[in-house]
Amino acid sequence: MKKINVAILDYKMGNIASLKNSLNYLSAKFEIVNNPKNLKNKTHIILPGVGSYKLAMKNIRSLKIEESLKYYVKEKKINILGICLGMQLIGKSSTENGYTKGLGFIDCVVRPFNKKEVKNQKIPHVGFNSINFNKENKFLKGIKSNSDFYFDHSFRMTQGNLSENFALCNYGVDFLAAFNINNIFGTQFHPEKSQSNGLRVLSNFLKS
Amino acid sequence: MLKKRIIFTFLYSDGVFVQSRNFSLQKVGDINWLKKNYNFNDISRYIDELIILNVSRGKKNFDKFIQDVKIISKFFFIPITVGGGIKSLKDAQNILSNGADKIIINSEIFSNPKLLDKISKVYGEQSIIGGLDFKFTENQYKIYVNNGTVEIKKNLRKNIKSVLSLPFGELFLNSINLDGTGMGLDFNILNLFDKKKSNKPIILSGGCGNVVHFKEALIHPRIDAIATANLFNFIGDGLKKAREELLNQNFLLPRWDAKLTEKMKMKFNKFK
Repeated sequence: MKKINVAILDYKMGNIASLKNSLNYLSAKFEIVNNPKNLKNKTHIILPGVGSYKLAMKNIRSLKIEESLKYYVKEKKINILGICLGMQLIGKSSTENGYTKGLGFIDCVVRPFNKKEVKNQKIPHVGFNSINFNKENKFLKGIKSNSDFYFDHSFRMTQGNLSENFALCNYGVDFLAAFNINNIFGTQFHPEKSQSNGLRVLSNFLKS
Repeated sequence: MLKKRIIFTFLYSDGVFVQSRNFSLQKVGDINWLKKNYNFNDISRYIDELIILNVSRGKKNFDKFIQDVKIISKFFFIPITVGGGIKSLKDAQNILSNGADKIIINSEIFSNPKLLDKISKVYGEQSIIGGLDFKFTENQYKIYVNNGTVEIKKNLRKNIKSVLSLPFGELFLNSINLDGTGMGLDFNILNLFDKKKSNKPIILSGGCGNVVHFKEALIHPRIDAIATANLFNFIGDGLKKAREELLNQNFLLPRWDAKLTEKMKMKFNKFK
């Protein structure tokens, strides 16, 4: 396997310390990147993030990261993992605080949970919940269907036209928990906060 | 299916970790003492979330506190919530970029509720836990702020709606009467927070002393998480044993493989 060199994209949205801790624990080499120049020569990009979709896209644009990200992900086929808000940003758009266009790497859209569909359960959806999938794939290798991961979110991504290599979670309604299309990976859950299950998913990404 | 959570709380005061009983503090030791007497791995692999509260009376030394939060967070691959003395968006930013995933806001709920708007606009409601310290006294529940020293005069029952309408994601209810006693949790407070009034997840704290208390809380329909801050009740492999018993009896807790976490250590060293 070739040498691993991960870029953790820091666009000033929330905690990246736990992600750093996880990569340190796995002993994977990484660099915190907020300048598009430093995306060069990376084998993997991780897009973390919690908080407002609109503000996140604004920050990504003002740091002039958007074009470079598109270049490395779409042209150079560098592996990218979006976590939580990061996964949602990889999608087409969100209606959080009004319509905002995302990075558009996959065709899925982001919508709020509504009270009716979650059958009056609490919003945000917070805590460890199980994810389900039919077929093992390289991203979820070693993980059994029905394994627990930590979620914390009020918006969810729709399954869109994904037909394979994805996992769903149910919170009154099914929503996208994880997916992999070619070099693009996403998790709505936080692998860096999901004990051994999460470390394994991170490790599977780094091995890809 | 969404699982319930067991949370461990570290209480921190002026550079040392403390044991609290009815909110009066007894010093236990600094971070080195904690590392020596508590194998962090014995805690971190057996809980679902960690809370670190800065309960220093008077002026709080934020920088030293955050340094210690950073050290502790290295051992925990679970959500970490930090609170105590957060008075501005800058305080929140400082904490949320140094190891914490969520913050607890307590006194400012009453003295500066606009702070919650400001923080939630940047980090989202889900990153804020609203903390209420309560005391059962004169046959009613009263809320206290500033480390349990100042009573909120407003009637809790009448005031609850406006508190719950603030932009925070979860509610942390902590009993001052039962704090540190190990006598069991106060479930009656939950009657004030029925589902019609609030959909926010509830963390109940104060009085949890043994595995039976965990069990009582885990089957309660209104409770999403239980927190214990007792440094002595679960010393050594106490948490491990408690969790194993709960899992064996099929209580609704998340499952993972603590041994696998050990195996993953340094996995990618050879690919550096």
